[in-house]
Amino acid sequence: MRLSLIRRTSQGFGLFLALFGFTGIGMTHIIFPGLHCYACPLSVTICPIGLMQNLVILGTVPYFWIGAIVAYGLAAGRGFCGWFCPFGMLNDLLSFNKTRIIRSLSYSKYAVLVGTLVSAWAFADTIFCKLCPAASIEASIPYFFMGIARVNRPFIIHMISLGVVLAGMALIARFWCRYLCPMGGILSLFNRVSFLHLKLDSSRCSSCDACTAVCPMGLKPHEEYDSHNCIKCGKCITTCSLGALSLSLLPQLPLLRRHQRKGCVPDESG
Amino acid sequence: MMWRSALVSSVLILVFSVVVIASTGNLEYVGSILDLTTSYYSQVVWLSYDPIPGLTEPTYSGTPAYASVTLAERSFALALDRDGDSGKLYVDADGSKALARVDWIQQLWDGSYMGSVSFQLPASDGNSTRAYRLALVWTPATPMVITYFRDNRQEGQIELGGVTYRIAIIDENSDGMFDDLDHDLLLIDIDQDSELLASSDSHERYWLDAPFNIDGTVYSATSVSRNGSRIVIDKSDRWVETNAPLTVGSPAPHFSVVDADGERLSLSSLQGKIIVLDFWASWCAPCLYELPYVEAIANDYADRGVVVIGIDSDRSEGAFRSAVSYFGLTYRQVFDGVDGKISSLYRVSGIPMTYLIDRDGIIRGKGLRGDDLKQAVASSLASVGAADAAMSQEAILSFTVSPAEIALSPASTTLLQLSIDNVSIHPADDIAVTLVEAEGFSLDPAEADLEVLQPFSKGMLELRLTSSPDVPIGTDEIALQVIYTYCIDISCLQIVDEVPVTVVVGRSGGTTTTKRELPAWLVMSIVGGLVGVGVALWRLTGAHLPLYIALCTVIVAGFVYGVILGQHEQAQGIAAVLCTSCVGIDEVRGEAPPLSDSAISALAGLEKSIDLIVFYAPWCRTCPYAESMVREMAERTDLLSYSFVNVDTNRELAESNGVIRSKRTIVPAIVRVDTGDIIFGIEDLEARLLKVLAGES
Repeated sequence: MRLSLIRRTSQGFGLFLALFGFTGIGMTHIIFPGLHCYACPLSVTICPIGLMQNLVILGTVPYFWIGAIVAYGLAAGRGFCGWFCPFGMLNDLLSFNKTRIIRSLSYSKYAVLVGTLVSAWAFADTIFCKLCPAASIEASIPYFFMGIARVNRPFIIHMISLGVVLAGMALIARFWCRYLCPMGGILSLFNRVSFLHLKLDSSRCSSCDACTAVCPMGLKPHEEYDSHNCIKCGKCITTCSLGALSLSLLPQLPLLRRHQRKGCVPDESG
Repeated sequence: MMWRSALVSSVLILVFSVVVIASTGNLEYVGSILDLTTSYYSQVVWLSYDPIPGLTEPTYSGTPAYASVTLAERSFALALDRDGDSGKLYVDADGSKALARVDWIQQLWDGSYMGSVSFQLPASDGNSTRAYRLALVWTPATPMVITYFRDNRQEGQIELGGVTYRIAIIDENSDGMFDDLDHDLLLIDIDQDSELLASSDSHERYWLDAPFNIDGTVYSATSVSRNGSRIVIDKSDRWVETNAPLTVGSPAPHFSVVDADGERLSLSSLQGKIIVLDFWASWCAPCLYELPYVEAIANDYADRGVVVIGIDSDRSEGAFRSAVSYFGLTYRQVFDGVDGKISSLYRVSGIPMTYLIDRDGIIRGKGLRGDDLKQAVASSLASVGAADAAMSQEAILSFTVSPAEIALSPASTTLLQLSIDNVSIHPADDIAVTLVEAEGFSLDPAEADLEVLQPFSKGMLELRLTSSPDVPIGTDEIALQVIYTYCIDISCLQIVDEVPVTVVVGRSGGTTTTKRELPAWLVMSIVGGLVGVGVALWRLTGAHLPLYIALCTVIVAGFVYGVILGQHEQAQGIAAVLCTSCVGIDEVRGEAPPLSDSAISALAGLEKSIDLIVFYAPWCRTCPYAESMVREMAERTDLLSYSFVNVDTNRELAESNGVIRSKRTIVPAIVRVDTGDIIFGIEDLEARLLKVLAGES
């Protein structure tokens, strides 16, 4: 209960930071650690995917972007999806149906990521942004009410994209995060080494699958606690009555010896 | 009464609109066209031995054959009194049924006879007549055929867009009527050189039903009187490009195509060379006859900077390739096909056709064959000089050299950056930068290239300037030469710019500090290697520490080096400016379409001067649309002026004009300066812009 409250507060803080432009400050140099459109009238941070496409178009080797992304990845990996990303929070709000993840489909977010890069390079245009549901909510709709956007083909495409993704979210918990989010794809590369990580005390795990039932990403946390798909939301932790799962903010141990085996193992102490 | 008044009103409006908008020219008959450089379409009549009844005939010395020519829907009889290879021609030119002998001359080269006859056609009043001259030709080789073609024109003047042009109309199908617009020709002295050029590839010759472009305005003839004494020309809805002149002394239209070997071929890439364009086809016997001459030129002069390009008009590429192989042609070939792009660009109406283009891209000869062509190439090789027909144009690329003043010592090298900004609506290709010959200085490498610079985008070239040991001490002015190709569709221009550079040569230690980026491949290799080693150790030993060290190094190095390079500012700049197409508020569009008639009318009705500012970002893909529309509107009226402002470099002006919303600069934005009205984006731009101009916004 306490962890859940902390996470909600953290997500609220993410939303607060995402919309910090209400204070009147302009665009900063900060790259946002989640999917958040920089075109949003209240945004003060830079969308990593939008920036990435522009840098590809401009042919800039993105040292600054790499520094930021690696920093976020090392700090929390996909923890930002579960604890910070406003669009992840929207996914959470529509998480009615926690179906099992289709593992083969979970790699499609990498295809989206590669497609985003290739289309930016090939067409010298931010193609992903034109389809991004976050941009639909944070840019198209606000600018429509500001009188700058109109009901035209790009607007309709945005609304269709948003509608499809919202429907997907309602049918499958964290649908966007599971299968489509390119930012999730980037952060997932760091998931197994990030400081924020899920720990399993296998000696306490009874493989009861209680954690599986609540996992919004459709994982089996007691078996896949270091999965690249895990958003480290901690729902499995609060559900596990045996305390087998926990979150750590420290660098992963062991630092200098062989890492822990994956999955539930029998308690060797008997 | 209602319908009657409506009818009268409609007629009055129609008449008024014609009087106000269209231009009318009154033309007079000129009984010869031979003083114009022209080609012609001949008509044919077949002779028959059957007499035409009712004719008053002379006494023939041979066997007469008869025919009739129809002019202005009236028949005029003629008879040929043939005696072997000679013949006398008799014509009923005035319609009186009396045949009168025509004095004609025997052509020397093929034994044919030609004479000019002035027919009397009924005038529009039905009572009088008007003259109409035809040239009639008879060739003994085809004794039962008389060919004829028009030998007259109607000529006068017309005012278009405030400029008076000399014009002529030609009854090209020789039927005595000038009002069949799809068969008759209009000549208009577009270049105001007092000469009407009527050749088939002329830029001053148009079919009467075809639109033509003068200084960006498209016109077409809307009506011509039957006798050709009156023509009405109006602005047209259809858009056509201006026809470039193809006369000797004009710049050769540039093209960029893929040749038969699959390589890109553009005239611009042949800068400084003498070019021979040979239009040919495998089915064209005279073309094949010319091939050995052309091949010889290609071989003999290849090492002297002569490039020969064969442009083939075969119906199939197979036929073209077979012919190239069969005749052993070694020079560059392009398969252009029937009505191909290059043939159309050069308005080639008959082959063989050759163009000789000098080192400056100027046409120095056309239609040359055999030894004449070879001789002309040799003459061109002997003459060196700049083009005498430089084309004036607005700036396309702007240049900034950093640092503005370069300091170096003798026998040293320094780095300078040439920033290139494409401020036009079309891309600039094949940008090559060299140093204009300057004693004591050289570039290393001697040439720097940029493949393409998109509209309203920036590029940067790093150049290493080296001074020789004996370079004089002091301040020197040198120049960089920038050569690039600027294409609009297939039509390309090669443009040469010079960028002045100030160099200060000191006695020692002249140092210029220019921020230099490490090679990307080196940096990324180090990063990749570092992370790769970390990952490998982690996977092999399970130890996280090496990977943490590697990733932390990447983080620190990425941030620090990125900040040094100003990438944090770049990122902020990208995010702080909202291009309306980038997140899907507008569609990406290129250049704006031609203005609608209502827009043109509305612009003509402007009563006061209006200044517009178009705010753009160099990378914004909708901005060219807004810019071209404003530019086109300004071309329609002298009361509209505009300026383009790059928001990346002039944020203060954008802020003071209200283009920044929610701390975000939105482009494209068009601001009417006197009222402060702003238009964002390009959706329905023409209508919104007209509203702002009308003060309705």
